[in-house]
Amino acid sequence: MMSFNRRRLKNSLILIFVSLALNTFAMYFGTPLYRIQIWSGWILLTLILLLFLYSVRKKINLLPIGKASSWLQFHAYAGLLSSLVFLKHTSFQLPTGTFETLLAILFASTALSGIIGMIFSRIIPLHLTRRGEEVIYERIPAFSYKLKVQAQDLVLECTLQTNSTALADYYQNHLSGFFQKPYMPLFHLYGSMGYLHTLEIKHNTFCRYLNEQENQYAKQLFELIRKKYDLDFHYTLQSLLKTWLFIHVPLTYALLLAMTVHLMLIYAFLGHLQ
Amino acid sequence: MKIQLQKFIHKYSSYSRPNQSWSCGKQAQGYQCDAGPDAQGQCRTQYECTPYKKDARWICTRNNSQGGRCTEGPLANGDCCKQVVSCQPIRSIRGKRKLLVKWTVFTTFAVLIFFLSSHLRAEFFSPGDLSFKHAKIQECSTCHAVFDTSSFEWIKQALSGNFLIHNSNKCLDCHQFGEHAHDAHGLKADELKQLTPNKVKPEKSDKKQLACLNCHLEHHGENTDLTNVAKQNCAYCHDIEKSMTQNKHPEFTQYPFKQNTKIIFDHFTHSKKYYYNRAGDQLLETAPESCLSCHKSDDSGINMGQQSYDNDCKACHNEIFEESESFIVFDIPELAFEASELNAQWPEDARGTLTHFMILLLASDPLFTEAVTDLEDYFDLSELNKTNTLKLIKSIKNLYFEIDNKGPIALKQRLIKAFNCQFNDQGQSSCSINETELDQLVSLMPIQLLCEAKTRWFPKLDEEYKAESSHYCANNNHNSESDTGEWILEELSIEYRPTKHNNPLIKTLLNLSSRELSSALTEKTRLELFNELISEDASVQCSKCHSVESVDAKNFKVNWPASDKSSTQKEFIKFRHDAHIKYQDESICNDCHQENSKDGYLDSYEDHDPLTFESNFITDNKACLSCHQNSMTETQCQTCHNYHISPPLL
Amino acid sequence: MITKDEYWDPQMSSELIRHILMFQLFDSMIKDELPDYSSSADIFKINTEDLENTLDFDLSDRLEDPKLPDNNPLIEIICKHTRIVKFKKGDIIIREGYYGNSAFFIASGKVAAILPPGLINQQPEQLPVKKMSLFESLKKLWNPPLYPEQRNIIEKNQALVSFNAQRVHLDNHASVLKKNEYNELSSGEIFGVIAALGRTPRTSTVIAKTYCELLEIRWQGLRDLRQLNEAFRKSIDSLYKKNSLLAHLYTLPLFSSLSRSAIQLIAEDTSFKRYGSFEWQADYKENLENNTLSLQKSETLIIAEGDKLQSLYLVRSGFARVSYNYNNGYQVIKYLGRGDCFGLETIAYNWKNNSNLHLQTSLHALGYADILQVPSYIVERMVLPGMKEAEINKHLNSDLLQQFAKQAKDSPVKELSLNDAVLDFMSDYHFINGSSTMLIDTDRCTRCDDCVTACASGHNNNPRFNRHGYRYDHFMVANACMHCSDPVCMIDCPTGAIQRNPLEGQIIISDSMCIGCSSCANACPYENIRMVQARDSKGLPIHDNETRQAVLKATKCNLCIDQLGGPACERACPHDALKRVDIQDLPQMINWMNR
Repeated sequence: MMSFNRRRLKNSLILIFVSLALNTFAMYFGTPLYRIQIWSGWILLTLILLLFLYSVRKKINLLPIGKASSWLQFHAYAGLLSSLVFLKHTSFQLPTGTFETLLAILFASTALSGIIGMIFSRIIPLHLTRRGEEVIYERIPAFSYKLKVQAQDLVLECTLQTNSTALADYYQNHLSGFFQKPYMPLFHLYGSMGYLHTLEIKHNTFCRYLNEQENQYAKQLFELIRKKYDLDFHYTLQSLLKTWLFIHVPLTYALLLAMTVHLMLIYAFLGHLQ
Repeated sequence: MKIQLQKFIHKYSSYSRPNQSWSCGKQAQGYQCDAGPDAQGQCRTQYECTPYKKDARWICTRNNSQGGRCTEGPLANGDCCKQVVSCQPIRSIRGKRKLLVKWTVFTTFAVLIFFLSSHLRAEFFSPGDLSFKHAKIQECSTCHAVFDTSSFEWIKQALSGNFLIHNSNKCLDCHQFGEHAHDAHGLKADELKQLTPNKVKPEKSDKKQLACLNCHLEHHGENTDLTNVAKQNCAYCHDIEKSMTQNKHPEFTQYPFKQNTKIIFDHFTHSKKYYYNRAGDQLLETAPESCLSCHKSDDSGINMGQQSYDNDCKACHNEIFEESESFIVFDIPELAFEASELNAQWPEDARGTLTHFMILLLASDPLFTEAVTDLEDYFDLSELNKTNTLKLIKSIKNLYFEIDNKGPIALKQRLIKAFNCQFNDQGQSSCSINETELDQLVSLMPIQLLCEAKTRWFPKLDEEYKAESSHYCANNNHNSESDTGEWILEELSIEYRPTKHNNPLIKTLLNLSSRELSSALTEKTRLELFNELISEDASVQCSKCHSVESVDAKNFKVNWPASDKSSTQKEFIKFRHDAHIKYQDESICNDCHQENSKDGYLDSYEDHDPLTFESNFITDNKACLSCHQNSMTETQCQTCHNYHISPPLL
Repeated sequence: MITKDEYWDPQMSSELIRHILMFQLFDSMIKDELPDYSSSADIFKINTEDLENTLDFDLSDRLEDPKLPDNNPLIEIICKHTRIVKFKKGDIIIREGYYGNSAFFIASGKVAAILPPGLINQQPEQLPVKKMSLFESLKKLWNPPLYPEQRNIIEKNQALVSFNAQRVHLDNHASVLKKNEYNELSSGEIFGVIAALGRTPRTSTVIAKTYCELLEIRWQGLRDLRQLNEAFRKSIDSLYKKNSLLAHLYTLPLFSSLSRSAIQLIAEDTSFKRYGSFEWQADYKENLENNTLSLQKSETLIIAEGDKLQSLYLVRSGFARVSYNYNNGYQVIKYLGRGDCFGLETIAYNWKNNSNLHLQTSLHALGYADILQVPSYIVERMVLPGMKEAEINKHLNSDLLQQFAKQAKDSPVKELSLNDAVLDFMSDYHFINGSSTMLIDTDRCTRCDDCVTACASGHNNNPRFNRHGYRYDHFMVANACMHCSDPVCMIDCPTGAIQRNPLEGQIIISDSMCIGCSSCANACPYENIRMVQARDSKGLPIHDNETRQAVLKATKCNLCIDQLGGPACERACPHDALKRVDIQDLPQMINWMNR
């Protein structure tokens, strides 16, 4: 089985070759009489439709039409190729006119969101593996609730056992917000442990006022804090992995619609080459 | 202490269903609902169980996983005793995304439909501003015929398979490029051929028509120069690959010369020999100092034409005219018989011959044509018999009588008949001169001298004719005062001597005689006249400087002006002399126009074919390349080449 | 009280039951006497008169009386787990190498059990499992059910493995029987026990020699009969041991050059021992909770490092772990499954070099292991001399010995490699059982759930696995059915809804046959079977008419056996993060892990 590096190299070489071939074709046969725009436009349209086919393929996974990973490889490299063709189609210039600007923005944002999403897909899983327990995204609120209940039970038990409300008060004042629900603060995006450190310092500072029995509970409580922190980490990064598609997919449909109108306008007001 | 949040045990972890759109809202609290939300996202659980009736008793059916049968049991009316607070179902991630996609599609669709059907569509869909030259156009339908119709029409138009050319037609509403606007260079095929003699038709040009939109693309912003056309467009017909790929502009072959110059002027014999004295060491005073002494740019700055004969040539060449010889125009021919034998009055000692001009004047008289029918050589009348001689005499006398009777008109009429001239109201003529020129020729005729000659040579003419003459001669004092030539009445002939350049008589005669005539007599005569006039023996050989072209085997054309280009006719190559040579030293002309070492300039005129020529000068494209390297290879062809030749009129 | 619905064969009538009861098979149950089981043919002879005693009713009376007593365990077993099957002359009854869940008692007729080497390459193609057509797939995609676990309660029997439908006839059976040696079994004898009880493939092909009437007893029946009757259990167990030993020896490539008589000689001296517990899953769960899964804490030692090797150890079924001692722990070198042998290198080395090398590694049973011990002197005398030089050298240069040599020279600090560590992990958790374990590389997985969605699309919008499970470094073993080589989930199924596909060994649950007892779900040590509530078209749970309890069904991954493309999860992962791995095929797994 081909290693990832080899596959990447192979596909990149294919991409370079194809783009050079297209460029040569354009140089020699393209420009006379406006042909280059028409040709590059049709190639772009075909590429976009092929790219769109990937989302269709995901829905008909039952049929033996090739592995999704092969399709994704094609999708990614075809996406890069389509960006190059797009630049050629617009002659490397900014668009003029409201509708064409809109169309260009749609394409550019779709392509950029795709590239960024690809980068996310390769970087984020590594971080997710290396920290925290593996959790299913939809269950994170339930787990968070569970941790909250556990923390509350813990401090209540502590109160009952030690006849002191210190830990419970500390929880109420400083930690109840933290345990309330899953959060996705920005600092989790770069794996910062800063806030945990802050909590730890606070915690340690407070622990000086607890006796040994209470400290046992406090230790357990801190384990829960650590767990919640990691859970939030997973929540943030998994949310990112899920939400970039919220940009990429709807934009695709908008792009397809706008592209159809663009095609209609071209042929209504410019006409076919003879 | 290791906290494991996710238990793998099947009792505690049922399937997670990301494919469902809705999930129970209480999942976050760990509650597992039996029924789950319905497809519309509504919670349907109200009770913990659905009691069933068995033997008049209601039995609780709560699941074992939820705790089994409850101790209280259902209520008497069959409702479950434990109500459940409905949840607010939450959409799954996929459900949210599906919703977002639906909304995006809807919004995009709505926006597009809105703009397609509103009055804002022109602004919205315009692909860019018009170039500032079209800024006056406010209505889209000025150029896009289909614009003012509904969007459905647009769709229909898009599907109709119309071509660029249909959409280009509106351009021609304002920009008139004539009937052949969509043909190559906007010219009819044979016109194009005519303007580009010696050029091979590009192989690829056997194509269909070219629309304006093929090269000129609007809507690219205010500052677009619509005339800035990509050079690759020229490659559609012309083979410019080398210039595109190897940065090489094709070599100039005979540029800028397409054919022989109209005025024969060998620059180098002049500049090396004739401008110098006999010894060859001193420049004559009359010689020009530099190219610019004769060549000055015209108003457009494009052409460096000659100025005029007076300016450029007269200083040296005037003696041709000053020392020209006269030639006989009217003569009394020698007859084979004596006047007494003929019993007709004829001047004595007539030793002349019929001149060409006379023959042409006489040709309209049937008497003359009858008389000379069988004659081979019209100048040797010795073979004429008596009858014919008499006829001849009569016809000549007719001429003189008519002159006396009608005046110059007689000559005009005769000439018209001889040269088969027909003039219409639009100024078109069927012979090679127009009516004005004919009138001018006639006005130059020496009527007064002819009248005198008549009196002298045919004193009894009036009696012989007995017809009433209107006595033009007696009543008019026709003085043909011309400063370009003089008529001389000799004893038995009238001669003419051109004295100045641009002599209208010789010119008109040459023009008249350059065209083929229908009758054998006149055709032979006019050809001889023409050849005589262009020969070296002519009194003044116009054709020494004015080249003669053969249009076909029988027809000729004398090139009078140095150039017959109309100033409004565009050239295929645009080159402005004045822009290039202003403030430059006079020697700059040689930088581009170098001497052609092949010495075939004069010889090339002998075949009367202007297309076979050897120019005095050759132009190497190196001269251009030294400054225009970029333009000639990388940038537009249009820097120097024109596409539109036919003049556009707004 | 057992209802007709629970009969294995719905056509079974009380007359037929009585007919079956007459079989010699049940003699021991009725007479309750220890039979002489030296020859299998005598075991099951029946005496009609004594039938009544055990049955507790007057058989002669009941022979006319159509009604049979309720609540008789024997009759229950007969109804639920036996049926009569008939074969024409030349039909193939069972096929070597295929999986089967039942034993056959010959009521009448003769069968031929082909002796090794068997017909493995000569058999006609078995009809594969019927897959959905393209049209059906598209239809399924077009209109997925709105709600999870929708069932149309009146459903046709979806048994994927329909024995009666797929009768395979051997046209040239006469010539086959002429060319191959076979054991003829006649009425009163029983065959097919090994596969049924051992959860292993069939050991030989059995062809009907004449028209025969067989009583097919599925393994639940065998299990229940064994529990019901001590004598029966002993006789079945001894038959199992004897036959499986011989059959296994025949299949070994090591003994392929030996004659049948030689093998029989070897068999006489070979002992069969079972290490560990056949029902190991119970211990497994306990160990999991107490975190005592690792070798030193839980597994049964077969032979230790440093011991003198007396015999060649052959793994008949189950799994064994080969490891060596490092400091206070054990480093797994490899694990052995059915057909593997242990100790050959050491024996060969000693024989060739006339040395006395002791064992360099130890052997532990993983879960359970049926070990056949062939004395080393037999190996030295009968096997090694017959082997080619090159082959012996191959064994001598095998990985194990190389590693010993290497370790002797290396520094004490052992280099830990991921592969070794993963092997340890797999062995500890007994994942080596899996023939298509779902491995997810969490360094590549973007948690997009495309695999789950794809799985769902193939099962009426219901996913059949959960994307969680034990993880080692970045490899997670997801909770998806691994289609174990040793499927313990099948042990307790009362109806036989959970079956093994005879062709490739996938474990499939037949939804219509499942009664939702949760035995399989509780039995599966890896928690890969999940119980779901059946729902109607509105998505509301279906309740049983009588008990009013929700109808439960056991569900699990079926490797998309009825679909065109094969396992949907693998194909759907966009990032090459998911793979169904056969843990027995180590090189492929390591390759994938290191890609």
